[in-house]
Amino acid sequence: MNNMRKHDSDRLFAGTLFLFAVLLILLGLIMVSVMISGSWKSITAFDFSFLSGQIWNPLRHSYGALPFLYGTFVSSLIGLILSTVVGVGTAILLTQFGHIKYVKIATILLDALAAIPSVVYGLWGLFVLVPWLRNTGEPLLKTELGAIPFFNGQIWGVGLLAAGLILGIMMLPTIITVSRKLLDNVPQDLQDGAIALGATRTEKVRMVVLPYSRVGILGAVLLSFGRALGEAIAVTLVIGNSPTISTSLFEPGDSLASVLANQFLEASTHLYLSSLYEIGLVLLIVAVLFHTASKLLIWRVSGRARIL
Amino acid sequence: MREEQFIRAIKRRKRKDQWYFVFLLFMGFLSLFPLFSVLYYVVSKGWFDLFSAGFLKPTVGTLEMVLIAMVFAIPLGTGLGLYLYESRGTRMVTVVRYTADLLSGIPSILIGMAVYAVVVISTGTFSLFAGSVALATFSIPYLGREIEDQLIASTSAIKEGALALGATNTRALLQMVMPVMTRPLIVAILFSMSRAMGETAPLLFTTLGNHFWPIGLMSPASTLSLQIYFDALSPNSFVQSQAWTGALILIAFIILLFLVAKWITREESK
Repeated sequence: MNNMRKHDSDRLFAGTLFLFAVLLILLGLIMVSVMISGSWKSITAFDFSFLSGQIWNPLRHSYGALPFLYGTFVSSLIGLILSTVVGVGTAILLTQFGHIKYVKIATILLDALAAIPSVVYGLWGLFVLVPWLRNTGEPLLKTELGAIPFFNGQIWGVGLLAAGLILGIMMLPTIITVSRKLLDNVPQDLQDGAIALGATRTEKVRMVVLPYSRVGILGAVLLSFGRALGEAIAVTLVIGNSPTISTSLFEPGDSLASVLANQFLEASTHLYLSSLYEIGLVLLIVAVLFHTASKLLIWRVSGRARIL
Repeated sequence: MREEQFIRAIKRRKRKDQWYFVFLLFMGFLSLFPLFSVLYYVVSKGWFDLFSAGFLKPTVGTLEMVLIAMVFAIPLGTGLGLYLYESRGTRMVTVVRYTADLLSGIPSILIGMAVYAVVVISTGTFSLFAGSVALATFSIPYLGREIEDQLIASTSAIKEGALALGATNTRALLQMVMPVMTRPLIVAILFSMSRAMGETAPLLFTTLGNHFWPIGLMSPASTLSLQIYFDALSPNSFVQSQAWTGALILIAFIILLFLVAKWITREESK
């Protein structure tokens, strides 16, 4: 009798907890269904030409999302390259070369870097980074590397390069944190072995530590890339908000998330609104893909332990 | 001379090692430079306007909105965390955990769009409440995952002890495990508050912003993050400079939350 009651209370409890899980799944489903139903009109009207269309001009009823896809990927790619070099370098410095005392201080500072809201990065980007790029950074790049088409164009300050730099800064904390944990997981035996064989610290890192944690770092990079793709506020402030496709990184562009931030509430026709929902749907799909790929990679190396 | 060659080779490798170290130091400097630059500009450009009344409304708006979001997120997130912990190993839990990670990680502007479509359209108005719903939407999964991690990290021995003494699963969890969880729980809540406080994108389509005091929860409201965004976009240079003050207040609140969290964990480790 007593046993029965125990069992019942546990079952009731488990049932209650299950409701919370159902609620979460429901939230996810609402999310997806809002995006799909919102964009239905646009999907049926444009088919795949929506994604390949190069002209976005709602006044002339022309809705092509390619400029936004281009701006999103290019700016995120710039951020990815910069933050991978700097972030993995910092993680190696902290795990392989650092003294405990400095590492502790650096950890607190890096937490602070992660805690700064994106709108503050956007503000800093617009009033500190962009003027610097306009007056110093971009002219310098143009004179030094002007032969490469990426660095040859009219100088605005705002643009793909500015957005890429801001995204790079915002991606840094994730890349550093995850890489650090992965580098810490490299077995000490292997590292000691390399040192015993006469390797310098550099050679140890290059021949033992990095090969061991390569896959996981790739996961960390993909994870932060997926997040950078969806950053709206900071990017909107510095990218220039012009739906064009240009080779020069100095030119203004636009991204999926920032066109939503700028135009979602201004959409005056049903088709206009629906095509913005479709941009949201595209963004959702891209974000889910990158999220899943990065989780799989990180899981593979960490044996399902949660690193991030 | 073989020996000389050997020594030269070692010296070269050592020099390479030192240059590599200098390169890494430079990378470390590049990582921290933006932090110092941002803090420098926020403080130096923001402080002189700090005590003007202009930021009272957005500050109150931010606090109200985050607190209401937490009213939803704390119970629902805790429930979710307990579910994830209790049902480990089942197939359902893998799906739930994946959904939780996705929801807390997808671009937050999409959450703004969804809440616009569901809450703003059905209530017929942009509102502080809709903003809270948007903030809660990513805080619930975030808290759930944090709580699950804390439970896994700290409590299996306590729970097993209680079960061995004959407690039911429910009792063991609620009366033995949860009291120990208080501090980690508070820390997780503080972190999710600091994240919710800084978010702008999900509020654009839900809370909208407002120059006046909001009339109750069901009217558009101003928050610090929205105010910074709109001020930065303004062509007026005086208004632009106010954005720095907003940023200073926002960062001060976030630092405050961090300090409280650090203080709580410090007490714990003693």
